[in-house]
Amino acid sequence: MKKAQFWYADFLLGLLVLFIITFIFNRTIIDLNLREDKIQELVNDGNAISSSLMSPGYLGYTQWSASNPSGRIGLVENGKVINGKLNNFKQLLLTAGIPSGYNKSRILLGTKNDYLMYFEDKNANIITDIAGNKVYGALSDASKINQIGAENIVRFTRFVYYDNNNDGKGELVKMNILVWAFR
Amino acid sequence: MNMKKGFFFSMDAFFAILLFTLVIALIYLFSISFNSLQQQYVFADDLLNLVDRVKINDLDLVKYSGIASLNIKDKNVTIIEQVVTYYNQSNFYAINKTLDDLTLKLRGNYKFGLYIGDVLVYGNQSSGVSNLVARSRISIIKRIV
Repeated sequence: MKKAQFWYADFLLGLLVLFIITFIFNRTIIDLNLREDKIQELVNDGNAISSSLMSPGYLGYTQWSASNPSGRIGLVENGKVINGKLNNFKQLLLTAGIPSGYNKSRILLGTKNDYLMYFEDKNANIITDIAGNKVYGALSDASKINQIGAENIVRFTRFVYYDNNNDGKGELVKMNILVWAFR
Repeated sequence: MNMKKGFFFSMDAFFAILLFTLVIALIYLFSISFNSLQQQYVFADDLLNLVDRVKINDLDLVKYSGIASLNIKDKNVTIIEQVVTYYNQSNFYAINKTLDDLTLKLRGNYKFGLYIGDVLVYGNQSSGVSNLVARSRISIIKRIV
């Protein structure tokens, strides 16, 4: 009768492959869960920001820009963007100080992530307002939207009526809200 | 000791790697393709708000040549009131022209149907659709009997 054979090298190789596969599998699952949690957080923030901006809001620039900001940032009434409210929001974003106007807006909108809002017409052009602004939030330059480079980014789109030059004639546009986090 | 040569089952290893890669890819695809209906919900809600609140007078008709070509006499009515007026006249061509002009480019891949009561006056039938959101509004409109 032959003695039983045991191929040590094959056994070790098998174990090694098993360990590698288990390691990769765990890493993939854990990464997916972490990423899913982060995206869910961004979705919740995007939802909260869009709901706030789509509301009439309350209080105004004075209370929003106070050192301890209060109120609710809102731009829309009856489906229409109210230019006076948009101006208050723009003014808040330009306010200097500690925290900056942008950071105060994040407090009021209830997010710790970065955000950006812009209007887009039916031909997918970003709309310029009467003061020449195109985007509102973390960036002031519309050309940098594609360079955000965040690992996780979500976009919310709402539909509103917007009269960008305040002449009483407007159009139906998209209000896009981007929320992102680098980790 | 007379030891047999070891076998390396290349095909088995190849299939195992293939299977493993497939499972990882499927988990990843499932995680990124999970599609919530939130965006469809707000689209439907916003659209109903707009047609219910925005008047023809508010629109810059230079940008809406389709609506401008309909030569609407009384522009001091909301979009939905104008749609109902066309509906009373059975003018589905004008309804299509109005709502296409307002929403076709804007809505991208989303499709929608607008019902007045049970009657589909614009867009797509909702039957056989896998992801569907329905929103409704009560509007006061003048109906010709």
